Amino acid sequence: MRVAISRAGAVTAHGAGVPALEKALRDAQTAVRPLTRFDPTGLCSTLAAESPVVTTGSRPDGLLSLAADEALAGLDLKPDARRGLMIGTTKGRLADVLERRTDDPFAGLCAEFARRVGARGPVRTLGAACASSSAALGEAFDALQLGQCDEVIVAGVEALHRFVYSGFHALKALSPEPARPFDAQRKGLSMGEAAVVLLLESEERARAHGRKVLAYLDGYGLAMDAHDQTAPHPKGAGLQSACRQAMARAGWEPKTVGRYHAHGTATPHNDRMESAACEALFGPRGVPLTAAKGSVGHTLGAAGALDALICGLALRRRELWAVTNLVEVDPALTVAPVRERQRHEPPTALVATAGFGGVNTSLALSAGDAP
Amino acid sequence: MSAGITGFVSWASGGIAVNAPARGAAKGRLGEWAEAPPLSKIHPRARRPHPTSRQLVQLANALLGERRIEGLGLVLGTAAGCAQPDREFQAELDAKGWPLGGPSLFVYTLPTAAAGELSIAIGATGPLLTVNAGTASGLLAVARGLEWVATGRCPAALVCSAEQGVENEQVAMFLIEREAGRGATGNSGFADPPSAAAGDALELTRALAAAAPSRLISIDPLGYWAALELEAAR
Repeated sequence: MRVAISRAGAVTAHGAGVPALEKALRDAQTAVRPLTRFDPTGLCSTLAAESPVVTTGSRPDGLLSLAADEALAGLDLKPDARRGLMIGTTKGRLADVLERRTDDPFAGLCAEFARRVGARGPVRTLGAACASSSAALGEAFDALQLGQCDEVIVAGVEALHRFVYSGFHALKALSPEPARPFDAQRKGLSMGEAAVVLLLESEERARAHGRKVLAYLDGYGLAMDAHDQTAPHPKGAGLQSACRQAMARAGWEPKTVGRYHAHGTATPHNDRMESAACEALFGPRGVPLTAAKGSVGHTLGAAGALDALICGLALRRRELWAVTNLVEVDPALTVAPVRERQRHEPPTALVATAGFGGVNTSLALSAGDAP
Repeated sequence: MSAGITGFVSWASGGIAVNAPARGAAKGRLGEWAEAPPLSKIHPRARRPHPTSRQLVQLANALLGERRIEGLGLVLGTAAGCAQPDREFQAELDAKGWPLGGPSLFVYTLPTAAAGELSIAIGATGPLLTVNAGTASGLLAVARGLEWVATGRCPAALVCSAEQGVENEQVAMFLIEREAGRGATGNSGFADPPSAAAGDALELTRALAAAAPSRLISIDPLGYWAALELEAAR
């Protein structure tokens, strides 16, 4: 069975809606701007990719709701035991934990969303640090392949919070300027917030319902570095393993891969690690490299699903999109970041994410129907 | 391919149990486990892990000893896994000021941090996930570990159900391996459970200790449920 991504919705720092996101990425625009949500005085950055959408109540719930409005518009969402829900997030309703309204920041968020979308099959929140929503895509892939459900709604969500921003400040990981992945002058990451909602089902089912396919999820890999809580393995051992798993499940060889869509946080450690992993997989500058975090910021638990969506949008146009904010490629790296938008074949990609704790994921994506 | 549970360790207020029913009545909290092996002996790469992570490493050591499994997977089921580190980090920010939080404590505010620490300590390079389904999280984690091994995602999985640093601390840890017996099958979902009965990973430990066929179902007030069909190994 081929797994298709057939519907999508997104709220990002570029605003509400997939079209706004697609336009900004095609034009390599950055949404990293001065923070307004809280006062960053004393912290090593004052910037973030903050979504301009206004929400009331819990911020992650509000972002998720707006993304679902777009992704699931017009669908019959009556409760269905064959519909699953997998949510990837790192902090969920963090504010509720800090204000001692609950010890569990995830279950309520996921249960309320499940009721809204009528998901009564496998329902869970996945934590894999910054790879959380990639892991959610992987769980959905498994649930469909194992026949546990007919469709799975996958969501990634993360709201900006001063608590997390201060933590990345403490780690000296924040850049004082908009993040510049793979650039010689990169200084760290820019934080962001986003919600992404995707519908996954078999290609046959999508066609039967008259839905266009945005992208195919052909394979998935998940592996650990077993090296360090914050620093990635210097050669990207876990990421290489995850990429090889994804290719094996897709039936691909390295030469099948048309592009590598990087985690690309713009920290010195991460970009060096991904360069080493890419060289081991594809040889020096073996495939074009794309990366989105200079445009949308690092959205932590939402990043994997957001990167999958962005990569899928580019694949279906048979285009490569430039790495936002890239001026001069770090000469110490052996990757080939894309400098300008261009046509490209074959429309296949590995989408990589890597998280604290040494968690790595890889998604094998192929182009769906042209827009 | 079949998969089964080949070992377990559990901690609850009644004491610690390793592959056998709990004996005696150990007192205190997990963080006061006087007989715990020193971290320096069992986790040479440890820096300053948060107690919730350190205790999982110590319990894994009780289960695995020096055994290491190539490509071992890890699944952690938890509802309140990072609540304690979250509140400690917030207290630090409140006390010292927002720019002065400690980086080593912040790392452990991620729900994956404890499983990550385990992977570093025991060299586990297979897949890793933290799963949350309310109070059905533990049983769901066991179900996913069984599916991973049964479908060949990894040769073995260490599955943990852990609620630490909260009022009622409970940790149960299972080693799942291929072709170990008839094993168990799992399922999980959101509503419409097949029947209503309380159960959790600790109940699973007890069922395993009794080596009796069981059907375990955990239901959460929010509507989550997870179910396992267990069969004693032959």
